[in-house]
Amino acid sequence: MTYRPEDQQRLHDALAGSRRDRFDPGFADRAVARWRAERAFTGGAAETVAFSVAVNRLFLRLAPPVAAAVLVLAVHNVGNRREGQTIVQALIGASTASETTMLTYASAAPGSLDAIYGLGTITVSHQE
Amino acid sequence: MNHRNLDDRQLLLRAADGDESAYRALVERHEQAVARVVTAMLGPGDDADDVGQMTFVRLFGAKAAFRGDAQLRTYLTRIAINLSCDVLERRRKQSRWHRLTGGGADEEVQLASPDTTDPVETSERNETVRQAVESLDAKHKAVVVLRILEERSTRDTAELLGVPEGTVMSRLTRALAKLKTALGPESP
Repeated sequence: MTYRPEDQQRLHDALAGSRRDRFDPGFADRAVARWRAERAFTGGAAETVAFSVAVNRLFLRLAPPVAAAVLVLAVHNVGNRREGQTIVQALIGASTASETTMLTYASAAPGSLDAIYGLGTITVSHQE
Repeated sequence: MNHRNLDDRQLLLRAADGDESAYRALVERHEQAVARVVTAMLGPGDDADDVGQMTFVRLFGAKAAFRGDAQLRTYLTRIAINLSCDVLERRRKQSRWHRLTGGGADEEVQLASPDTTDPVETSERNETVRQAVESLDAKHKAVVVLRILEERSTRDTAELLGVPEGTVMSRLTRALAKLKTALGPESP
């Protein structure tokens, strides 16, 4: 069997063979009933969107203010950079970890956590 | 109320306000255009009916996007094609799963047989072409339906499918190449 020019017509006929000018009788009634049900479900808005579309819309709505907030915080952090802090550290608000800062955090930590876990109080001793 | 004198936009606005008879008038007015595309894509049956109903429901989801610059019929056709493509993809996945689980016979396109012109051969050939069409994936089938069956221009087809004209042409070429492969090489 070979491809012949009339096969284009066969292609047309094959598609036309399954084509119908109308849906099954009563289509308008079914379509109206479906529409009524959708309206009842969506509270009259009659707008149905796919979940992915809804997520996409939500993202597009939230992304600009979130990006603006991130930018403001980054500028604030870099503007108030502490001595010895790199730009990256300042951007993410990280402080330089050192023995002194660790001890500071440890001594500043309230005993409440220890109490919660029943560990008693941590005492930090500075050796001369 | 008689809606015959109202244009599509007026009907659309009334239907959006909950006027059921306006919605029915829209459905009846455009059923044929939607049915022709959907049944060509999916064949007649429950799937086609379901897609037809959803096409008209989705019209209101896209209400904001329809501002009268595009014909409502064109807009409906676009929705119908997209929904039909979704169904074809779902069918394809189900068919693949069915084959993987050994639940059904593999539907392969029948290939070459000697070139004759008797009625039996003609009937076989028609069947081969039909199967080749059925084996096309959704994107290619949509292009074939719009370009060859609906006889729309490349530009119209591109607009309906939301793709560049070059993509329409390449998909059509690929679909026809698949048909040629199914029927065997052209004789010199």
